Amino acid sequence: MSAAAIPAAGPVREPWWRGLGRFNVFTGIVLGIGGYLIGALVIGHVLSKGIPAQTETNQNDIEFVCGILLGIVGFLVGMGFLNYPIARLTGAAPTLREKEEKGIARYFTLCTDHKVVGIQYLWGVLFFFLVAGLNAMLIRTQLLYPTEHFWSADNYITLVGLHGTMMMMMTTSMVLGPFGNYFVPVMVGAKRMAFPRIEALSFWLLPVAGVVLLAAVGAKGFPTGWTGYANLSVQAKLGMDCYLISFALIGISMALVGFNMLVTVYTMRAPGMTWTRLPIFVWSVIATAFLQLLAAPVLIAGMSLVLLDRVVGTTFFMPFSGGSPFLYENLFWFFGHPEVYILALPGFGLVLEILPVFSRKPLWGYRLAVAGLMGVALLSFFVWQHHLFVSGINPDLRPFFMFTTELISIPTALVFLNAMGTLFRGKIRFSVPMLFALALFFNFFIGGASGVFLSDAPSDVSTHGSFFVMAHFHYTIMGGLVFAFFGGLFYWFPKMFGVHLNEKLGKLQFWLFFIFFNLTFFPLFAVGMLGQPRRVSAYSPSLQWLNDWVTAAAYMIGLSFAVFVVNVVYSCFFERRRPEANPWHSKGIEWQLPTPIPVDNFERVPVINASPYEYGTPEAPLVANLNPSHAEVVAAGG
Amino acid sequence: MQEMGFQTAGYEAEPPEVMARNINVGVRLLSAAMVSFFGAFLFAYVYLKERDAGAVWRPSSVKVPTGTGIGVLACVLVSALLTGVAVDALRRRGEGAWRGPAAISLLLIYAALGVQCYQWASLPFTPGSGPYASVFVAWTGFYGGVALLTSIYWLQTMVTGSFRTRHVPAGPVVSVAGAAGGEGAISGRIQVEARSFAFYWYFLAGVQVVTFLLLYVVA
Ligand SMILES: [Cu+2]
Repeated sequence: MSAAAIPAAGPVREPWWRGLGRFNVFTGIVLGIGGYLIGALVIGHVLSKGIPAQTETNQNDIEFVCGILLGIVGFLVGMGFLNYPIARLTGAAPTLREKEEKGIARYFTLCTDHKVVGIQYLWGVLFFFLVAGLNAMLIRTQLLYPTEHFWSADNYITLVGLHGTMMMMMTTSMVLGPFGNYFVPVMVGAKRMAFPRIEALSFWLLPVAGVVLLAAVGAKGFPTGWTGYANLSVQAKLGMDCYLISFALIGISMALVGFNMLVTVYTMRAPGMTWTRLPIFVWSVIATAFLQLLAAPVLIAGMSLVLLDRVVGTTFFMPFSGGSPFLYENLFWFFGHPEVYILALPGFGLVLEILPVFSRKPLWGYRLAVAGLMGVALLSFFVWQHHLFVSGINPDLRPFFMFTTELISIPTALVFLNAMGTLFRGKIRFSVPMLFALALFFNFFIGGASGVFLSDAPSDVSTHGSFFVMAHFHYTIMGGLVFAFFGGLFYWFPKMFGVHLNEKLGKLQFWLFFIFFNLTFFPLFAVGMLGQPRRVSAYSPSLQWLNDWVTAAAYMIGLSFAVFVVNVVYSCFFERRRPEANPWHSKGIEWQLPTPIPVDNFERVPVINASPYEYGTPEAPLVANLNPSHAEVVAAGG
Repeated sequence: MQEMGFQTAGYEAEPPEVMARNINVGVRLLSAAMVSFFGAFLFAYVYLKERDAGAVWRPSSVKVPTGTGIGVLACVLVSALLTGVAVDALRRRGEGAWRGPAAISLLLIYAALGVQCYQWASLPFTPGSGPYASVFVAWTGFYGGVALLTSIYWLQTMVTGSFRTRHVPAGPVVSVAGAAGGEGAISGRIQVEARSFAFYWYFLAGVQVVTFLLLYVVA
């Protein structure tokens, strides 16, 4: 049969607007808006009748919250998330796949291919990172002058809250979202994630949360910063509801990601992928996933309780009715400190993954690294009250939490040991991913050392609530996680997109970012020691020159990100340098696969023959046998 | 077309024990997350009750709705018991014997939710009547909204699916290493899924017992 005999073998082309009617982002947005209107104007209106605290003030939280919640449901219905559950409830057989065709459109739908979800995460996270980064520029602009100049104190604190909350929300997914979803199944030799629909849901909650949080701007903002302390939050204006709902959504998304990652790594490893052959990045994902699974539910509960206080009239945090603000502080930080390691651990895993490739040496102290990651994860549940040293807690609790906090530096230091041992006498190549990886250790060292001052109750008394704290956590999160993220992005970009990012522009971005990151945040330690408080836009005029210096340096960080954007556009659309199959000469399984990786990753379940770090051993076998014989599968325990 | 062939050769054709094992591991992790979640309510309960200085925890005007509380507890416990009976019947006599008790178990969870909704509608206090009332509303609310609804969803998908396919002959016998407690060959996915569900539902019934003791007995 010749091709001419059957001219229309492919699907019939239909007009583009037909596609809009099918479940995708567009229908999601339409139903989301519809849901908001029905929730606010009908359901919320009826429910709030006869409650004067809601209807006779200019702030009806019931209407607003009903609107947002129904809007979220509407969006998810429009995306098609309810189709499968409803079919299952009526007895349909279980399936795994949804919309795994080709083309750009699948990125705007519920797609269950983990590689599509990884890329959705990447652009989603980068978008919100950009928005929150612009907020930071606005904050620094206000701080050019010691008095209010551009925004009122009200708007300034909302700006700070938006920046902080959005960064904390989005950076929880910065590594696990894009790289975890894309590479963990590949790295363990699986064809998919354990629960593909849950994976898709965990991503789509992210843009919803981002939009709900941004909506706070139109609802008079919120005055609490990213920590949302009660009972200020209970008394705050409507924008507070946006903060509470969006943070709870992120909590749900985090718990789902952790759940999915743990099951995937536990049950879906290929034959021969023993625990000691697992890439160290996957170990860091395991440690992080445990934190997400166990800490995020407390966040969801905490946010819900504040919401109940505001909407239903409970009195959890109202002291005059028997409640307690300390209840909130404990619930929040019981999540909040593990959250810090939810941010840090995947960064560690990522750079430890990169170091051996660019030093051509095995990862030094693999088991020590695993112990370090797990130790940090475990200890992080026992330190949360170091955030409350000056809050009026029982002083007898302080020594315990001082001790546990200082203890956590030991497993963290193991990761530094691994890095030094790996670099020692290595054949180091200073490619862009390696530069970012090395910078993490420089930055995180300063971040960690300054943390000792904050874990120590006496010195915390004078630094708490100042710019010292702010400099400290930017050194750990931005200096750690964000550097690791860019390292990972430059490292895996050729695999994910089939395009090699320009090295020269990459190095320009790195040096601008590294130098001006330090020039921004190092002076802030001094600013804090000299007494400038966080979250307040007015400060002592004597500190203006330092603040102006910091603002100028911060603009330069913004410039370094602009270089990144230029690099992506230039590399993808103009230079289009096709990478070699394995540009970094890595032993990782992901580099054994074709680019782009096929929908099913592996044609057959592979057999794993070696650890991915056997550099410098010429006779070491390939990590994965992609076409194993039946006997080889059986021999590997499959 | 070639690509389609490649796709169906992929994970859609994978043996059912893969998903069964995922569910079996997943349900344990889900329960761990639930410990954290309800742990937050437990913490609120203990913290606010112990800190209470001025006897505002539960003013005498706040009456504990014990009758409906016993109703919810009874439905949950009998349903959990029937889940055990159903799993046992499944192991001994197959899916056909599981269907009946599982369906009644499902109806009882619906009944628990119904009694819970009736209790909220006829609550003898408002959410603002002090910390006890606050914890009560939040705890029962999330138990109903999270624990009961997820259980209903899961059990109903199994029961309706099983009724729909009751005339289809049973699938091939597969071996689920590790997942089924090392009991060897079992037939089909519903077997392991029913056991995973039973684990989840026993766990939640345990949470309900703690709920009952704290909110109704100790109060
Ligand atoms: Cu902390």
